[in-house]
Amino acid sequence: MISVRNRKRRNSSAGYTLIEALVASAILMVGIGAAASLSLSLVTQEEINERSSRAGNYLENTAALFYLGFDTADIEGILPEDRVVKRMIFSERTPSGVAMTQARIVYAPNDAVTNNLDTRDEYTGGVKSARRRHTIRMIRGPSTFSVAP
Amino acid sequence: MQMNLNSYPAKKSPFSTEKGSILVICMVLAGLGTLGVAAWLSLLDARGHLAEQEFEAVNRRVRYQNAKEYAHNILYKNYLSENHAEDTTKTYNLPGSWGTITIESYASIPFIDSSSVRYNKTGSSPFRSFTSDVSVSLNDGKFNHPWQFQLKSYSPVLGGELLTVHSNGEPMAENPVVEGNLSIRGKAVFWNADYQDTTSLIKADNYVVGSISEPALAYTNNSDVTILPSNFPFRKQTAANQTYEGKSDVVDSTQNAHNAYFQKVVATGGYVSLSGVINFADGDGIDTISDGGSDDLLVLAILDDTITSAVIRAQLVANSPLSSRVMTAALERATPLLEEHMLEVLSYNYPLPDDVLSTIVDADYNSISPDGKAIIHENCNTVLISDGSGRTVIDLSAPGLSHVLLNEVTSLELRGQPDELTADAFEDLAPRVFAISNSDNVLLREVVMTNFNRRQTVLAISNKGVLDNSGLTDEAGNAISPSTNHTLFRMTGDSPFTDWRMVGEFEGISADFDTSFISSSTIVGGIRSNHSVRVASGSLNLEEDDDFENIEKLLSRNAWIESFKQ
Repeated sequence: MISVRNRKRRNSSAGYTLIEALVASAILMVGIGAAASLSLSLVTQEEINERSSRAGNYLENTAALFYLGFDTADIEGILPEDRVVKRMIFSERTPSGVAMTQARIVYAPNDAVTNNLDTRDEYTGGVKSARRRHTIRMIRGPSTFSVAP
Repeated sequence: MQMNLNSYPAKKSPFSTEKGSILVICMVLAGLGTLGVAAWLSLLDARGHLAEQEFEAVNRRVRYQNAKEYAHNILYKNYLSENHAEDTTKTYNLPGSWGTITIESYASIPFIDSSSVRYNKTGSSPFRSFTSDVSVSLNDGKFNHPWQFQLKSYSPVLGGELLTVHSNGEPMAENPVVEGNLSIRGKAVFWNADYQDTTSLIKADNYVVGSISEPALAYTNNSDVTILPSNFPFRKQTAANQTYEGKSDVVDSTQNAHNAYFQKVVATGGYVSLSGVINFADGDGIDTISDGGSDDLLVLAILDDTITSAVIRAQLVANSPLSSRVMTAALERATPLLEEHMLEVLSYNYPLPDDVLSTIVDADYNSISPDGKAIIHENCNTVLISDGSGRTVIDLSAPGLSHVLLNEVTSLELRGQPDELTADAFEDLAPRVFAISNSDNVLLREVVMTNFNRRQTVLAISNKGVLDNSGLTDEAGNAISPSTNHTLFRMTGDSPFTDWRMVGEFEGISADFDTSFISSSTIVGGIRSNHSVRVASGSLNLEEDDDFENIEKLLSRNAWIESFKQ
């Protein structure tokens, strides 16, 4: 005769039912899927941040070269190529009669992919065609002197 | 055989314990995972903010740098070369909030203020300079950054730039050159290096060039070694009002009054102003002697041609000292007095008044021979002669000589001290300025510099019009060549080696030095020119004048700005 105690022990040591296992698996899969999706989004966002930082750094170096007196036509040639930067547009503006040089950087936060050797440039997610831009306006002082050759 | 599991000794089942532990472990892992994900999200959020703020940081740095550049622009344009102080604080904004500056008021006038002389520490500017401090606040959109802008000015010659060649000035009828046997014991500065050294004989301790040289100058030092230009950063600086293209405008300029010799000397006072087309003389005598009681009778006697020269001599001697009117009547008598009689009469009236001397020096006045005129000048200590034909003489052996401003002068003779011993006695006398500003088509063709001069002097010459000598000949009938605005500087004297303490400021003339009458000459000071500088014949040295304190306030200056973060 099996005692009540033993019966309870047998019941408690019994396996989960198939339904329980399926539900648990489904929940787990949803969790894993969410985590994977979240990871992809986070990695994408991280890449956007990195590329934005590179674009900001590129723009600041552009400004530095401008203040040093370089011709705007030469600045892009001086700076090392960065595939994040899609366009660097200079234009002369005279708001309120003040001559200023406008520098607009257009960069790709997601799809800067061309070089397989540089995997850091490969995109993970996001909208490939997305473009971001940032604009600054600068004036140049008379810190250097030169006369017409 | 059947095992009776129940026959084993009863003990606490490990199974039930593991079951609870797994749950705890899972929860812990889930908690850690949640923490990790939260940390990742937080880190990513921070990273996102960082990337976003980097652009804002770029904006702020651009605003800050814009403000600094804008401050330089405004100070250069509106403050540095202006002839007034600023008594109000002014704020300037760049459109679109791309920079804001606030310029505090200040009391001193930058280009002419001489109250604050400081030694410079940057190495790229003269060793000392006149300085006006201006406090400027630069705003980056969030914070104000206090800066001090120092408006500085100093003579380039005293700063060691013994030869300064500015950008081409007008008139410019031919390509400027720097050539000849010129040795510069200091720095040679070419604001526009298109100037040519066609003979490669120019030598300098070092060179500074402000632009690409085409064709190239030959840079040779005083040891005959070819050297590279020792270019320091070529500061934006000006010698003229709001003109920063290397122009020079320091002789006669109402627009640049605070830095031009004519205007500076007039403001200072103590000068004589002459026109080359009006006869004038300045000696020890007073300007004029007023009429006396017997003048009418004396003049009547002089005008009477029937009275002999001897009788008039006796009358005039007896009535000496005579008035200017009587002496002038005697000098201009239709039937001239004998020269010996006239000289005797005048000798009783030494020193002659300037109006009488002016009559005698007139180029058209021939009743007294050149020798006779020389005797008069010697006895009257005549220091300044303009004979009305454009010929002017300045005697630098006279200690009482004042500043001289001249117009319409075609020939200038600078009579220096006769010997070195005499010249040494002039070393500590106050500096003097001789400035010449000719109108269109009047060119100073010759400057004769005789013997020594050890008094600090400035010779400033400006020629405003293009001159074309084509078809003209000199007194000997030879064609004047080169055909355009050349001024010959002829160094003469009894000694084979003369020295002239002089700062030459030449505008619109090609300065051609000729030392072939002696062996060699040295200019102790320097030359600033916006046209050709040649040593046409002989050799010329430029040396630095280390006594700067007496003359630094008088010389024209270059002005520039230096800025420091406070």
